[in-house]
Amino acid sequence: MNGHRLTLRQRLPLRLDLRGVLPGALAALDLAAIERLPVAHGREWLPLAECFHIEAFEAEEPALHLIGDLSRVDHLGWGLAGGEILVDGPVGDHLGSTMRAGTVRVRGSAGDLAGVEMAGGELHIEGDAGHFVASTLPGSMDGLRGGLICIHGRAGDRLGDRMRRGTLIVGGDVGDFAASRLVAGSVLLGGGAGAHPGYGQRRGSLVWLQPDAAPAPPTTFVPGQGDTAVFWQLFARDLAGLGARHFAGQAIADALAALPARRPQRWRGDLAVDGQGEWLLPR
Amino acid sequence: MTWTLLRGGWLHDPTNGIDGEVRDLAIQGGRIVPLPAEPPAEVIDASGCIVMAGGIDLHSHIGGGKVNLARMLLPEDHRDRMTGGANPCTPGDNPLELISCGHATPGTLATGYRYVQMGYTAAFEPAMLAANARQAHMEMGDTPILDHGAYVLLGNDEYFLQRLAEGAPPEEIRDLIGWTLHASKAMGIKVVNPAGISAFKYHQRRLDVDESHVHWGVTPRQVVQALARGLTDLGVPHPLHIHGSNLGVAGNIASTLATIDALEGLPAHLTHVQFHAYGREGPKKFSSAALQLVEAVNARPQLSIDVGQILFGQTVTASGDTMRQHANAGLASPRKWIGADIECEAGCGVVPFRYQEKSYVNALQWAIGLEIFLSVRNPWQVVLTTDHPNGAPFTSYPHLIRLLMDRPFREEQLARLHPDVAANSALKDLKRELTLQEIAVMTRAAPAKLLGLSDRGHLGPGAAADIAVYRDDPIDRERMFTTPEWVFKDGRVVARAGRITATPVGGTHFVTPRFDDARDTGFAAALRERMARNGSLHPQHLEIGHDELCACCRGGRLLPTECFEGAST
Repeated sequence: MNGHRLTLRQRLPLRLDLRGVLPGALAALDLAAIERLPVAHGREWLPLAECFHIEAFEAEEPALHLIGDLSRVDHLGWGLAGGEILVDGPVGDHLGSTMRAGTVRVRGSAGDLAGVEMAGGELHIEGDAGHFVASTLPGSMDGLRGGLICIHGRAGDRLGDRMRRGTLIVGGDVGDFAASRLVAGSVLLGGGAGAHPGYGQRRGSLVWLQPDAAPAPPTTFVPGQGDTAVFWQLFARDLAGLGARHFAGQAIADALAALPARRPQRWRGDLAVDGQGEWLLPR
Repeated sequence: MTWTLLRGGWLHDPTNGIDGEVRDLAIQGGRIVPLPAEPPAEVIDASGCIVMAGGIDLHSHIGGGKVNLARMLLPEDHRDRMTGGANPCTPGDNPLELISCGHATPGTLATGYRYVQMGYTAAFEPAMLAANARQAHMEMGDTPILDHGAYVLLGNDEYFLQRLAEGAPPEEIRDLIGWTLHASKAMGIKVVNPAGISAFKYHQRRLDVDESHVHWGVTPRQVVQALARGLTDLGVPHPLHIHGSNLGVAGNIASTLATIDALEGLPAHLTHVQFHAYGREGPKKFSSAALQLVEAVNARPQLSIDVGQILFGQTVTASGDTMRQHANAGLASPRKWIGADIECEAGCGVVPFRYQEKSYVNALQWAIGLEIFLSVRNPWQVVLTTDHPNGAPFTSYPHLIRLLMDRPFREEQLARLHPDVAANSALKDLKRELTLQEIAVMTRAAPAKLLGLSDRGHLGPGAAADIAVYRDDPIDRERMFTTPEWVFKDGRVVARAGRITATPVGGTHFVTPRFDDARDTGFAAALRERMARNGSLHPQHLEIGHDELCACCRGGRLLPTECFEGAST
């Protein structure tokens, strides 16, 4: 019995912290012990079974399936090191933060701070995501350090703040300060962005899949003259593969599939900092 | 009145000349008393244990603005290491310990618990700003169990420098010092980079001992002289606490020796001297000048030092020395820092730092500190510190003690470092192993003496019953000093085998100098006027009264220290 299905009993009156409720941890326990697991609800500790109806199912690898309106459930998949988490419904803040491996998929929207300091694995949000996706815990120097984040809908402000490795794909529009202080890694945007994209971008690649929806580059960016043909072919083919795997049937999959046939216009910046970042606008 | 018998331990009480003798101790009413005639109410069997007075850390950054800034700068220091630094700190299994955590910058609660767990019962904050004194006292008051006190900063505030430049008579400087001690309820005066923090604000990026402050025209030599003279005249027991010029700069032994020279025979305490004992020789133009420094200290019984030993690992450096912290900011790890001026009184620089074994400079710093410990002849002149958290967190004291007491252990560590370090340092030739008695001097008896605490740091009748009882372990002194069997604070068992058993509020030490405060015409009026014009503190709030101090410190006991008789006021 590797898999567990948790169905929310009723709407939660307060925030529920599901840190520690991970597929691998549950797979090692019997059902009675899982039902007794203490979880923080507001300032109190509740047994897990008070919030969820829990049943086990057969699965090849440890799996956790949550059903219901989890928009008040925070820290789901926190520190995940393997296995699979599937959510039918919206979730709260810090989805998949600090995860290192495994897969988290949400068939709904996520709150703020999804994928913060994530270092590996895959995080799929089929709805929208809030602010600070793939950014840092308070005070840390690095945001996303590895892995893949796919957001099918829109995302909020400060997307990828201080991110330094990994791939971040957003299908829809994003808020202000997208890819601010980006250190490295690849950010792909399927829609437009709010104010100040690429603010303080040190290195890393920001790809605008719809160049016409992209804002004008900031004045601290300059046209890049280097030859990137070989890099672009390797990069674009990889991205086309990601599109086919993770966005089948969506407009963004077509946009990604078309990349190898396009030639990107390239800007370098932010010159106010290192200036080694790039914007790629494939036309 | 009932009393407790602590029976059969080996006493190490250097103040009273007891070196490892089996003696019984009687504890009554929070004090050590002569053995009463009636039978004890409680007997604690300390046979096989080493009994010392509670440890006293005379230089540890545990309160005041920069400590909080360091905590805020490094939230990662407060995340749970057991979960890879991701989770916030989790409650322990001891309901007496409120949740508090942190390693290099522990919270106030964790600071108290961790100190007491290793047998320390008092710690002194060495860099309190007068304008920030309330904050510092409140933070230390929030630190449980430990007694505490602070040294207030002088020597970089604009008023002092201005009056010095205008040729104020020594009596005025003396009274200004006295008033500052009185107003901020401090235990002593510390000078940080004399005149240098101020010079930094006038674009000077270094200031040698005989170099003039570009605006006020005074030199560090004059500042040190004026302060040391004033403190001597007031009879303040703790001599001037000096963080000298050019901290951490290769070749700074010259300015350290010049500072000693500037004292002209007056007593002083040179702090974290490891950072001030560097030469400019060898392949990296960075070498140990420990022996030159030690020679100067050995020749001057009126001087004392604490070492500021570095130990490898992550920590954070927090200092009032804005000039030097600005210079070191590029070495910050993680790459973030804070620099600030505070009320034109002094500065503040917080730079996280990771001391690395593979760094030649860091490894040599490690060796220099140990060289100093092992070559000062008189242990009463040396205090064991890491300048917490600047050299290493205070929790590494047991490790440091083992390095000093166990030569094979020390050489094992030295062998792990780059061979150039051993080649360029005298450490490999130092065969000395400190004794338990010498450790007792450096960690309790000497600090108590240097602070003028007559009833602390020893185990004679009348002393406060602050006692640490360690299970003797000649093989592993680190383990022994990490977890005492019993720790008593004012006669009460506050830790038993590493577990906190009571959390009384600590007391506050401060000096009570006599001075002429020239209230209406002199500096007090001038300071009030200046504060009203430029400061953020209400001029009427410059002085902290006794009731307020008591409130700041959560009702802890006030422990005033008298100044020496015969002072010149």
